[in-house]
Amino acid sequence: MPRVTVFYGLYGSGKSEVAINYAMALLGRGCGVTVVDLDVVTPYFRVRDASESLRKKGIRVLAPADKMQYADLPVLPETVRRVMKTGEGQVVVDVGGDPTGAKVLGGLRDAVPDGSEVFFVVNFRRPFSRTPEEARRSLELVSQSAGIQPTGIVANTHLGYLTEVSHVKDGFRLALELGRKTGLPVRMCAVPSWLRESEAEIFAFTGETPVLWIQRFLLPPWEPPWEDAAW
Amino acid sequence: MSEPVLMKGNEAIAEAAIRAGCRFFFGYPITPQNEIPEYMSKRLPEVGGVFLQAESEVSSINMVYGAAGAGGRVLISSSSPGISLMQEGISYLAGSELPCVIVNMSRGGPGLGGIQPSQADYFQATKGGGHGDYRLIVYGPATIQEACNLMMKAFDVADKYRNPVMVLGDGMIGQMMEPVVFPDTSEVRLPEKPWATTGNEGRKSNLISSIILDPEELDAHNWRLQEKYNRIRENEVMYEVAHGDDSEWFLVAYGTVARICRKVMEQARKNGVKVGLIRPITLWPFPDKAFKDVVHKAKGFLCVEMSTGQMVEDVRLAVNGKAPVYFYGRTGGAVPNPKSVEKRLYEMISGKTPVVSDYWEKRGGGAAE
Repeated sequence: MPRVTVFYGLYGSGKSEVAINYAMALLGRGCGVTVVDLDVVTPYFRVRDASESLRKKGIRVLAPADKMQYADLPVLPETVRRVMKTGEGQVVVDVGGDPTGAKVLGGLRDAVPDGSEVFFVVNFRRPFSRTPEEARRSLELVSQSAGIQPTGIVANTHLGYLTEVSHVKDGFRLALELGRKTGLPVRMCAVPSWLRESEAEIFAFTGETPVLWIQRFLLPPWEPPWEDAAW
Repeated sequence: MSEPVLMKGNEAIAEAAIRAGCRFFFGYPITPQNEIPEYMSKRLPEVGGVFLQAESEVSSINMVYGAAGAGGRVLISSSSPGISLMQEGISYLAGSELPCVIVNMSRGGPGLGGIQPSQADYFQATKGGGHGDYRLIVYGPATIQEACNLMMKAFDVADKYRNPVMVLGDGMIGQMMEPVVFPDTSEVRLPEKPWATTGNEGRKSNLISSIILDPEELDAHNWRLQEKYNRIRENEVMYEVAHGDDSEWFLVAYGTVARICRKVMEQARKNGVKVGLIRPITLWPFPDKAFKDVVHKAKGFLCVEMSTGQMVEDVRLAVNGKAPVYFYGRTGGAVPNPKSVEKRLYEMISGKTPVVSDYWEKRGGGAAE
């Protein structure tokens, strides 16, 4: 398993939640994990917004500190290059959305070790990736902007609280089609954790592809886990 | 009906505008609404529209004036400081009776403030903002689907009354993602605009202007505008009342905060407390009727806002002294925590919190938890 795993993609494709849950899975295997938040284009719902709960679980979060975390400025922590190049344990990198957000990775290209995994996260229920062809164009723009070619695809099709197994299945099929168009393997299928009760049905179409169960960390203030904690 | 897609509020608003026939967008970037211009810059060229990033908010609102005057369906979006810069232009649009839709994804103020969600632009949106006796129709969506539906409605209402319409969201509405279904708009037919400056072949020239130097004429113009605003008050009020029938206590909130208050209401009702929710959807015209309908049996109204207390003034006017009005607010991008709202609700019920008129004198009641 390579030490560094990068997630990039379009705005709202689910990169941050996938990155966090991937980090949680690595933690579960006993790895030391650092999540690097390279998102300088989205003002809300970033990895750093969950940093407190992640730190409590034992995951290191590298993100702009203190007041800078609230700024919409292209600020990165000064240790980011060192952590990506030579940091200890597993490093999970969450890149900002769209070609604009991916530019940041372009500037840090030299810090991504050879052999790292670079995953393109795609939700076929999102604008500008409604079809494999649209997604292929988006993938091209994002990877050009980042200056790093992807090594695989993460199928992450969902519809928020409306998600059903059929949406995941449909999205997985479209991801495979995107894979055929681009020559890339589908390396993970991300599935909301509440669909676990239908796992037999899900494993039937994901086959050999690992399933990453997604528990949401980046939520508006009126949604769980607040509810669990409070009442 | 199309299939649901997962969208950020900003994206849904932009797509809804295009589906409502909007073909002109002018603006200048500012967080947290940048996905609107970004989306429009991708989508408008696909449908033969014009996307133009101007050199400032002042330029962009005046471009809106031009495009609206020529009969186009026009959208402009910004966030708090940017909307402040546009106020002169908005007043001109209202004075010249030009339809357009303005989106404000408001952020913490005053001044440059911060980029987190806020509702502190309520006064600016509903009480003028710019100079002169004018009104904007103001919608406050609470979900992404509602933001999409209200955007489509906003263009129609703007055209119907020849008046600027504002969709007032907060950063949270702009940034959060929810599934959205876009209604079928293949049949959308834009209204004729015989007043527009589209060339005067075969007819008298149209003039669009807000300059009226004769005091008698300007007086008449203003009273005519008031008649229009009264028609809007009669016909366009929108609100939602949850559990109005059996409730004695009411939470009052709009937009994002209404989502939080709904959770609190549901939880309180599980505990057997008769709490309802009044959610204004049009912030202007304000839904006085929602309050009049329940005030005779209400023991108290708790208005919750992401401000130091702005809509609460309209709540007090609507309640008109017939029941106590309470307030809880957070500002600057801090979002009220459901637990804190719940605490205020029970304090109100147990008589432990001052009513709002005392609250300002005592400088209490709204501070951070």
